[in-house]
Amino acid sequence: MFNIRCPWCGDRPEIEFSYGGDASRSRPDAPETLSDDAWHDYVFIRDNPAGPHAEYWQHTGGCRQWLRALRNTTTHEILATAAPGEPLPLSGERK
Amino acid sequence: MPEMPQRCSALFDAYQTGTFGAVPEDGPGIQLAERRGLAIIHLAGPGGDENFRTAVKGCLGCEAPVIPNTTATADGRCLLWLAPTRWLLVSARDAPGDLERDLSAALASHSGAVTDVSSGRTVIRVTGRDARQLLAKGCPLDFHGSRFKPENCAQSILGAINVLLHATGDGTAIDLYCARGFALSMWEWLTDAAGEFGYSIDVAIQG
Repeated sequence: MFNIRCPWCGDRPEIEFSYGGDASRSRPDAPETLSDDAWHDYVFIRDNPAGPHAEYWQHTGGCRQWLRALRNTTTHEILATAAPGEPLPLSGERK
Repeated sequence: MPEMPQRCSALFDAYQTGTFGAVPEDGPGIQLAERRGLAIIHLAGPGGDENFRTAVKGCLGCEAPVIPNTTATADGRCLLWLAPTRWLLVSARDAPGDLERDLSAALASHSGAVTDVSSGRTVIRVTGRDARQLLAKGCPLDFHGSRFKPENCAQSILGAINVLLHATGDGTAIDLYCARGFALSMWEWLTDAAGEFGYSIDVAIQG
């Protein structure tokens, strides 16, 4: 069990949240111009880092807002959280 | 128009007043009572828009709180913060249909949604000296008086059921809101968990 800091509700336990996937990928601006390989890469290919990982979470058991979290996948430590549109510190986000 | 069926509590068959559990010498540590007949309206709208909030206050006499997990009460009506653009309006003095109609009319020129959920929620009031200890058995929130204060609200999980908690008045009574379909399950959890403190089930509160 770990706590996640909801940008609205403050520190809340993990069981109130649902995992929403990898937040390190951004949807391509013009998918219709993408090659099949590039689309396949965007849809399916994920890093599996041991260490900090940018993730989407939703506070499903609370205010139901989406947020991004930077989680250390080896220690489960939540290093930072941010509301949509806010910068996620230390995340090394990539396109 | 045919007569509408009467609202019936989801706890109707299970609700039995009396004193139960391991009651200590100084009386039961928990009192449970269902609140019935409330008007409960779900309100969605742009909380950051001053005009929207002015229109809400003009209709209800009650501010839509912008600070997360706080509530505002005025004149028997209460608005509980659910999310940055969502509130739950609870009134003990309005008929649900009237309140929904009046609020819809007041917000007609604004974006937003007004939805009557009165029949879809069950409200259980938990009071007594062990009330917070009881809830802490099944809910991960911090129930210390310095963290869950009077007129705070919070959405969380109680015994695996999504619940909205409201510390009413001076914070000694905590109202639990859950979806009607989960009400009996929550009631069974509460009455099971309250056994060690001794508990009474009081006559349901009208409003």
